Amino acid sequence: MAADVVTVSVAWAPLALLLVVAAAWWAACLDAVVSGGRWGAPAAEAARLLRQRRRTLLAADRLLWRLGGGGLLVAALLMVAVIPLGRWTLSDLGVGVVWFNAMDVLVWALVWMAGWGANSTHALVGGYRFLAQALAYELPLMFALTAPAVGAGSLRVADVIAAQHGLWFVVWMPVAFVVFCACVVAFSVQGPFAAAAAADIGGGVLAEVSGVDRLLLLVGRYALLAAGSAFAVVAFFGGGDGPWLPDWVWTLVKTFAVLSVLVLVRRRVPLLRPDRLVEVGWVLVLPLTLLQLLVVSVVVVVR
Amino acid sequence: MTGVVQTVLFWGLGAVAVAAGVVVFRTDSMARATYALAASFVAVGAQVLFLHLDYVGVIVVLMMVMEMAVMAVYMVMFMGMNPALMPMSMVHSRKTSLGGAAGAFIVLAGGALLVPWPARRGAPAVDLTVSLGQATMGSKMLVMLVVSPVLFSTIVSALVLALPRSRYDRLGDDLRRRPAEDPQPGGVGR
Amino acid sequence: MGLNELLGRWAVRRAHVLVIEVPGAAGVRMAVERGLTARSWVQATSPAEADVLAVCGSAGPRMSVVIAAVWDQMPGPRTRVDVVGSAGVPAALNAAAVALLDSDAQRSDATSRLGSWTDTDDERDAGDENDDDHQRDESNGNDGNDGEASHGDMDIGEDHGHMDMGEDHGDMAMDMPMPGGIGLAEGGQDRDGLEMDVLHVPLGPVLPHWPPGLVLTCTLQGDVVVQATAEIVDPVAGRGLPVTGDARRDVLVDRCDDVARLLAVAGWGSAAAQARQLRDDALDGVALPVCAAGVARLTRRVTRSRVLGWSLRGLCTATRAPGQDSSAAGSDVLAVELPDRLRGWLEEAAAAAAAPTGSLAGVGLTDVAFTDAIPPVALPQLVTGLDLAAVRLIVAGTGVVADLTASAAGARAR
Repeated sequence: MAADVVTVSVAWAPLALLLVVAAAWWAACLDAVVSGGRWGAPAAEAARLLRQRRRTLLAADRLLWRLGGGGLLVAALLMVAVIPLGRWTLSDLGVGVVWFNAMDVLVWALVWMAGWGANSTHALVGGYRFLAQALAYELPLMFALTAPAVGAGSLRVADVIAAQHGLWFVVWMPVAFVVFCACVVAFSVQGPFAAAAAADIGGGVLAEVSGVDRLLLLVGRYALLAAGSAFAVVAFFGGGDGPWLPDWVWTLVKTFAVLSVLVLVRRRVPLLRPDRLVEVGWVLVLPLTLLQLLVVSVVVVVR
Repeated sequence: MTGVVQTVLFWGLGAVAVAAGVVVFRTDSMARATYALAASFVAVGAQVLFLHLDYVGVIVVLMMVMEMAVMAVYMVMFMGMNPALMPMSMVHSRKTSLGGAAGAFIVLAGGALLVPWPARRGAPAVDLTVSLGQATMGSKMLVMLVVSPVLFSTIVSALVLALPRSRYDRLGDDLRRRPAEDPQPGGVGR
Repeated sequence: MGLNELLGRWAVRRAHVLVIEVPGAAGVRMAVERGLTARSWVQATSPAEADVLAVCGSAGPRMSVVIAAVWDQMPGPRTRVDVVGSAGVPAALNAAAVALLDSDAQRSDATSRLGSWTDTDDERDAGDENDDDHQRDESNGNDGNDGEASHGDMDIGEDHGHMDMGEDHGDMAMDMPMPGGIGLAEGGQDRDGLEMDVLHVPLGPVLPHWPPGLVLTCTLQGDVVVQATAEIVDPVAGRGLPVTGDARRDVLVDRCDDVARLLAVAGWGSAAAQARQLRDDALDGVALPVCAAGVARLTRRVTRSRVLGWSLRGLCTATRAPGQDSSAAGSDVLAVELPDRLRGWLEEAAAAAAAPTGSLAGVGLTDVAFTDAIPPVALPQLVTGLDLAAVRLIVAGTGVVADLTASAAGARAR
């Protein structure tokens, strides 16, 4: 169990994509059931969107628009590239934690492009709402990511997993864990942080897309949620740690568990308004996260 | 990756960076110019990864994408006319800037090619980022750590001083009005 | 083809329906929503998302133009149903499902739409009222006209846009090739002293959870409304609420509908669904004590949610400048904050469900159709200076009815 990670060739990337999409599917099905629908709702939705024709608007910036919509799934896949499934990983980057952070910053650009490209007021407002919200959550997310890195003394994801063999980080970094999970929901434009795609602006960034483009956006959102959950497992729940079963099974089980909890919990909170969230993020959440980081640093130094 | 593949990729990324930089000035849309600039920076960040400076490379990518996204906010705020997909000229004071750019390129390229670089002694350190950090910041590490919060507080203070609405506008002449009178109230109710 | 049929059958299991409520057809709209919930179909938030266009009630002349524009924006496969009475809802939705699967009809519909747009430098509209519903970027003032086009690239599924020529731009507009023929937006000083583009955006009459027939033409800078005018398209007397024969149920239905609307705009989908379920139960004839228990549960959930209170608070005071004349139309309507308004609705619903058989006068409930309503003229001053989210919340928190004078609104409102 203490074995180091093995880097597999890039030819395994389609399997990673498959796993991410499967996790996204699971999240969508659970979401449908919890909101009173049926298990088959995501399949029906996908069929509907595959049948639907694409549309465009006058003077829409189609390059940026399609890039923004389709890029979310790519960002999720790139996030997952550094997350080991048990012992195997696509990329054993020495700065895996920072890579994950860089990929979620990519989402800033992508959602804005999806809002801008449509040349429509509501979509543009949605894109800018996302940026306002991102300004609120990004710093807490960065510091919440720093906590496991400081606890493990390294930015390498395998080292973060190895450092949790005695005690999982979620036990003594609860604030960082909660902030991280909230930020995962935020960068996937879901639940209380879905202001960019809210119904009060006619769907925001989803207002003008239809057909395959819409399907890519919707799948991308759930895929980001899945990728974030996978990283939460790796950073706070010890990765593949667990008795009896092989480590890759444990990683998958834990990822699906965290994903399910995130889907179930986020329905209980109404939408948070980005203009009011900024002050909360900077004045309340950021100092708390910094305090958590101080506690972690003191523990590491004293240990 | 073999040496040949690495070399090809490195030079390819350099070409992408230069091409994207040219696109910044030739494209018709502010949004596309912004993200062409981001693409250029990302290519440079990827090139830095080839130098085994993982942390610096990934940080360059992170910072540049975030900066371009923030630039999109400023673009709307400060550009009175906000043309999208419209022909526009991105350059000012042509002759001066062309002269300056050409001069800078000649100096830097000349320096890179003509300066006698020292021969390598020993092998590169295992952790290049750490050794790079120590070589540039060395014994002044404490100063470097303190500089960052000082810079941040300077930026904040400059903003506070530059804002047209002072705290007397927000809190009244006796600074006693609670909650503060803002056109857009914040979420904490300060 | 087998795969097409399979996809079609799966797709129809979850059709998205854009529900357009014509003024005076609230009951039909509620029936359509019940029908959608029963079939697990989804209410669409924009034409791009919708397969089915459901028009509730009979549309007047201006509304028909709007509906035609919305129909034009929907991508195929699409179908349209007109529902005039609540009884016709199941049949209409069944017909919609059948029409969506009819490949030949859909194909001919698609081929008939093959056309696109060009620049119309010479086309200028006579300036009718702006019947646009959904989001359009427009330049200063001038209304647009649909142009026929010769576009080399026949991309299937392209939609027409509305082109505008900003006449204020004069020679500049003629010299530069404008993208798509749309003129540039003018700049103007905004409240922070920045020079920002001025956009004229009509909100409504087709927006999710929006008063029927309301068109709020806003002048936006960023997403802050600096100026607005409101009107109702094809107004009629009365809202057309469902009549169940029991005055208590009518009040219960109306209040639950209002609560569901505000909760949906506030972004709490699960609570809004709960409120809608309560409304449907009341319409279905579920016993009143059971409804009362449901209302109590919803009230507990809503009042306990501090996040909801945080989101909704502080909107109404922001609309009044210090020292504003309090006799201005509508100012006394919004003396009550939105969270209190929401709680008041829930209390009225609970009181209606708990009232003994007989008249409602004993429990102090006011006339169902007009409580909380304001005339359109009162709306602009309430929303000026607010951002779009706040505007939507305020509009969802009040009813806008055409046939009220300002003084009558003041007398009736709480």
